[in-house]
Amino acid sequence: MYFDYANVLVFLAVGIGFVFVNMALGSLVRPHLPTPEQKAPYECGEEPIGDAWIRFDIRYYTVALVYIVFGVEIAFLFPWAAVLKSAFADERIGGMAFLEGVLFIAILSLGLAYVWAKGDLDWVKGYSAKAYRPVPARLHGFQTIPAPSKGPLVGTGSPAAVESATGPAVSLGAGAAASYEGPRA
Amino acid sequence: MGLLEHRLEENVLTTRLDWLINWARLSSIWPMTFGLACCAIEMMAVGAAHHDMDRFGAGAFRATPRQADLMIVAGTVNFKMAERVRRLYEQMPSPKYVIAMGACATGGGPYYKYGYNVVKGVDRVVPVDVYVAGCPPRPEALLEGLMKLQEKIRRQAVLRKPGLPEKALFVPAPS
Repeated sequence: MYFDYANVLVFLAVGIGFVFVNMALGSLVRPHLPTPEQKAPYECGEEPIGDAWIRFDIRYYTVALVYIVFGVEIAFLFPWAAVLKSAFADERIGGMAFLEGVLFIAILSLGLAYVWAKGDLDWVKGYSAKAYRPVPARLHGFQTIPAPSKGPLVGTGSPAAVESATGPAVSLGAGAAASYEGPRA
Repeated sequence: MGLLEHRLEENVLTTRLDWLINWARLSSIWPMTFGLACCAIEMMAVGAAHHDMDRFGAGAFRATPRQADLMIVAGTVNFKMAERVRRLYEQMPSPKYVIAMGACATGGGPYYKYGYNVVKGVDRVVPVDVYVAGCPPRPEALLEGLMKLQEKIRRQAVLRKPGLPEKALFVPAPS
């Protein structure tokens, strides 16, 4: 009968009523001595600076997404590891359970590898070793080389090639120009 | 002042109601997690299993003043900290109580003469209900301070009109 579930309704009514009755009773007997500090945000006794609704870096979202890889892995691999021994006792499911676990780890590792290759594990994205391209020397003001998209990357160009493309270096002594070997990798 | 607080005459009903409310208050004093110096080690010992402050309903150390009733000032209060102590006290909801634990919080302690940075007693910053002597006090002394605070709460007037304000209590150092 549906009426059996009236217990739930009674529990719900008593539970909700308990809160409001006690809050009403408390408002009758408690002291009312507000201070401005009670309305201020709590920052361990420090005077709060600025707003509590600050923006934070969007890169934290990437960190949270990468965490899913490890979080899901832990959540599922602990019970898997706990029952694996008993699964091996049954030869019908032992190998299958192990292979499924390995497959699961492999899929998640693929996600980690993808994130790694995209450079999202670096806090400053784009400064990973692969994407690193040094600042052209001409920005430092003592030598002019072609734009990096056309010019040689680090280590592939020689000083002579740079010189022939741009003319001799200005504003430096001859010795300095001769000893300059281009940006080091 | 609340809606009913301190507004009723003294009679059997209000006396019993006050007893009930005070019993509820003194049986669930929640201290603030707040240690300033070596006295805090003794305070932790009081909270731990051997002395077990939870027997008195006071073992739930809260990490925020919003949920705390009792501030145990356990240690040396210097001027830089005094501002924070005051602000934390203001952030606690009423009714709130303060125990000054140890010689430093009571009156500056060993830093009374030369401690240029030490407040000579936390009662210059917040109102103190119970002073506990010792450097540092034994855990039993802090427990006695807590019991004295409970006695003080038991005598409070909640619904009745209040009498004279009660003076601070002392737990002397053992001789």
